[in-house]
Amino acid sequence: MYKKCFIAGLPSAGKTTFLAALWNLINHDSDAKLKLNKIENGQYLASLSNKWANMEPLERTVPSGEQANISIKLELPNKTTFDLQLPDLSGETFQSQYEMREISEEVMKYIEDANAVLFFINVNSIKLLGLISEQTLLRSSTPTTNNDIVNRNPKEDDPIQIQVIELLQFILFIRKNKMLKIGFMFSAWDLIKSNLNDIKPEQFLEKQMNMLWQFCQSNDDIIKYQTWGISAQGCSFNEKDLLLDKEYPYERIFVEGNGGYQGCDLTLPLYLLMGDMK
Amino acid sequence: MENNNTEAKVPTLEVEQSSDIDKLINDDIETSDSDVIVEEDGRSGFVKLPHGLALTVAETYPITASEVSKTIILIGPFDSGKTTIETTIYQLFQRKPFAGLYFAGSQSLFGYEERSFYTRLESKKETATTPRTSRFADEIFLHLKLYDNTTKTKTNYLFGDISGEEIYSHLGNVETICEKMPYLKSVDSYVFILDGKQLADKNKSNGAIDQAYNMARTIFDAKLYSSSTRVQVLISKYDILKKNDDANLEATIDKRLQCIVDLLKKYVSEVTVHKVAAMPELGDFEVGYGLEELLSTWNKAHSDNQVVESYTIDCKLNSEFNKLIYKM
Amino acid sequence: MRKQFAELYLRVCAEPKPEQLEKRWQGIEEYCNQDEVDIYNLVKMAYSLSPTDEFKDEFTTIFQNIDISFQVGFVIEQELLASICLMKLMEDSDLSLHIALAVMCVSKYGAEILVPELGAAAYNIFGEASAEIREKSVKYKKCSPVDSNEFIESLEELTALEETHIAELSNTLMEIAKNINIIVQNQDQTLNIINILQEDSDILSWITGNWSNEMEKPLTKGILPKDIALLLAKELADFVQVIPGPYAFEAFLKKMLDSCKKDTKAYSLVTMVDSIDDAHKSSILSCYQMDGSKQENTPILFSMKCALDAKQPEVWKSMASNKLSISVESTEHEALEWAKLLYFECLLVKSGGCE
Repeated sequence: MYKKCFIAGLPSAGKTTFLAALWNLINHDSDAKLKLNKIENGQYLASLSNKWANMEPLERTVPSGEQANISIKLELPNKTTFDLQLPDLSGETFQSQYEMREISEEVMKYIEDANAVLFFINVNSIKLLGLISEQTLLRSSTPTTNNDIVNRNPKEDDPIQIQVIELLQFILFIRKNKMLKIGFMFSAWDLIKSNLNDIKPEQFLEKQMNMLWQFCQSNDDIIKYQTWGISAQGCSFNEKDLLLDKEYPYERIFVEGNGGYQGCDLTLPLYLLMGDMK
Repeated sequence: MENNNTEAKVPTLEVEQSSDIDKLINDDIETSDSDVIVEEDGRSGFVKLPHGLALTVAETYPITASEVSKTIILIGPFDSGKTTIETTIYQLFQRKPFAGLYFAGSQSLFGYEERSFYTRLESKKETATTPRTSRFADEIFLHLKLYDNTTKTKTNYLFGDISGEEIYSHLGNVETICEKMPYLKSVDSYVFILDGKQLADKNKSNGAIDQAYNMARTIFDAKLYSSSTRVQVLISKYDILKKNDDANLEATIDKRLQCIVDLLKKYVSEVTVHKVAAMPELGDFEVGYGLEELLSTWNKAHSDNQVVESYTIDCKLNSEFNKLIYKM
Repeated sequence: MRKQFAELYLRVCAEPKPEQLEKRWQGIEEYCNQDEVDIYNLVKMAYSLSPTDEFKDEFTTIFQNIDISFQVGFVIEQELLASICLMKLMEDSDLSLHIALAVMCVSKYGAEILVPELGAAAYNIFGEASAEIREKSVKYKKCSPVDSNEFIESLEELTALEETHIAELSNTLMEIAKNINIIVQNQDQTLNIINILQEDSDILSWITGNWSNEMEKPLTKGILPKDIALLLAKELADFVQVIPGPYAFEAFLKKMLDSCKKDTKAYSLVTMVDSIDDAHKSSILSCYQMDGSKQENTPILFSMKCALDAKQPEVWKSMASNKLSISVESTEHEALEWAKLLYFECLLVKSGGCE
């Protein structure tokens, strides 16, 4: 049985870190919902996982370094096994889709066949909309010169939620509005928890990316979504000594689901999204 | 995004190539009547995605033919705030649902972002402006799909804007406007915009009102409306008008606006007046002032009496039994 | 209709190419020229009321065969085309009254139809047809006298028939046959007049008596209009012998309801249906019920059936809403308006049975 999970997200959204942490978890944690059944062609993931375990910064995945055919054989709680395919694509690939409005046939095929999508969003990248008209003390003593005014750079200046919505629209367009199961994975969740301790991922989506939340609510006939806060790293690299002391690296992981789950099982979003495993 | 819209089109936004402030806020409308569309050859192994810009009339067909749609046309002089109104509505949805509606998608997100950028802090401008975009003559409509949480229905809004000068050029020659813009016959709402900045100036106020009157007259004499068309008469930049603090001026304007309303009511049954400050300069008005009411007007279901369902006939009745219809 | 079609088509395509318009019109003509048209599913399609899949396939195939680019997913366009087909059929076919009734039964449930002119046209046809019954004067044809005594006498003396006799015999027989036809036509017209007069008499007696036949009691100020409106509609429909019934039907219903307690409140379909007991529901349905999926074209009758079948009050609402694709709880009208709608439904059943 094959299941395909499409992993999407803009640069630095945490896609590769997730894969590294996931590999480590399924290799070692007997309490994870999904367990590794057999290691096949695991070099790429193993290499990532090693770096992750040592809290070394993972290099950004560049388009030339994409891994489109990662496959892991996993085991369910009822001992059924299945092959999970999930590509590790570069964030630049998604940025390019947004800006250049084109997609490779290979990625397009993957999206068409995907059983679910994990969409990674780095909470640090979310900025609230700031309108000039709402700034009352804007006028400076010297008028702004033409050189000060910035030209729009879509991938940097367009709000993250707009880019995410557009990418979602592309996915729905490619799938001809076939039902989409999607997990919004808010990475660097440790930063949120340290500031806003009680906020749940769903509340975060509604509060910080309200237009995206509206989009999902309005299209519940074709989008079934879940929200997860994850910290695959555990904290910033400045505080790594604390985490290196943990007995097992996977104990650094923090996952929070909307249903109240808090733990380190990174396989849980995959398990819940993949649906019926019969 | 449900329908195939993979026209290869990557138009260059002139203003984005230049940081010349004069060009940014140039009142002269720039349109290209050229039939040549800048087409990028599709790269081998790649498929084009929807362009995300403003839609042509032809590109609206897959939307209007498959889902409930409303076409809103904003008509007003140069720099009266047409695009600002369109983009402010879009931007307000980025924060929360608006007028009881939820954002449900858009085929023009890229187009909206182009137009909205210079109203944001990131642009480092001191005043919000909506730049004149160099557009192909037929890329007219910004698309917004909205979900009504009460009625559980989705509606596609297609916002187009036409300059008053363009309408004015057809004054007294209704055939040409019908030829050039036949799509106006299926419009759901016309929004005639009067520039609040001009209204606040006694030297320009009468001219502004007359222009709006003539624009409306031209459209309706050309029969570019249907039984279900609605009209909104809108004062933009209301914050500037209000700053004037002249109660007499505003009362005079209201009175003269009533003439426009009376004219329009000869043609359509639903005419409303709105005062809007989409991106106000001053602190007393919040961003989007008046837009919620405007959007609610567009979203309202048509009242039953737009087309009257009546079985009473006009001719004289002879049968006493039939005459009981009005005797009883 | 062709010119109106071009104007109406702008509502789904702001700038259609001439060939596209031509192909769509061809499709409309092809559908309307068929020997059998499915009025009920056409109405459902026009009012977004879930026509059957078979009908949708059949309808879209006609247009696809003419224009390969015609999209099955363009449902709004199909609604418009269905509306135009109905308007065309109402204009130039014998089915105009039947279509008008079918449209009137579903046009008041809040659907924002793309072509509201369809409802207006239906009401117009209904009004003209119902007024015309009593406005047009009846012309009786006169039989021509056949003077054949001499001829008959001459036949008695014949021993053999000659050609001239055969010719004259043939003419006489033809005259007799013609006169018999005239008599039959006159008889039909007389019967029609008798039916109309019977209808007038029954209705006037009903109104004068101020009595509900269904409830078997007089109408008083103690009765709420919502409790009796649907029953009165059924009673009035019972009197109708010549479709589409009396022109002043609304005045008659109003006259009867005015004998009850004054009430201008708006009620939902749920309230109206739940206001009458099961015995009366059964009585109505025993006289007026469509077959099969056509039941969904008569929302009030269908709701009554669901209410009877469901046994539990709460269950029938969702059953009816799902099948009808209208909200039985949110559409509200005054009692008189509901009575009119049920009256139309009863007439539709009556006229459908006459096909």
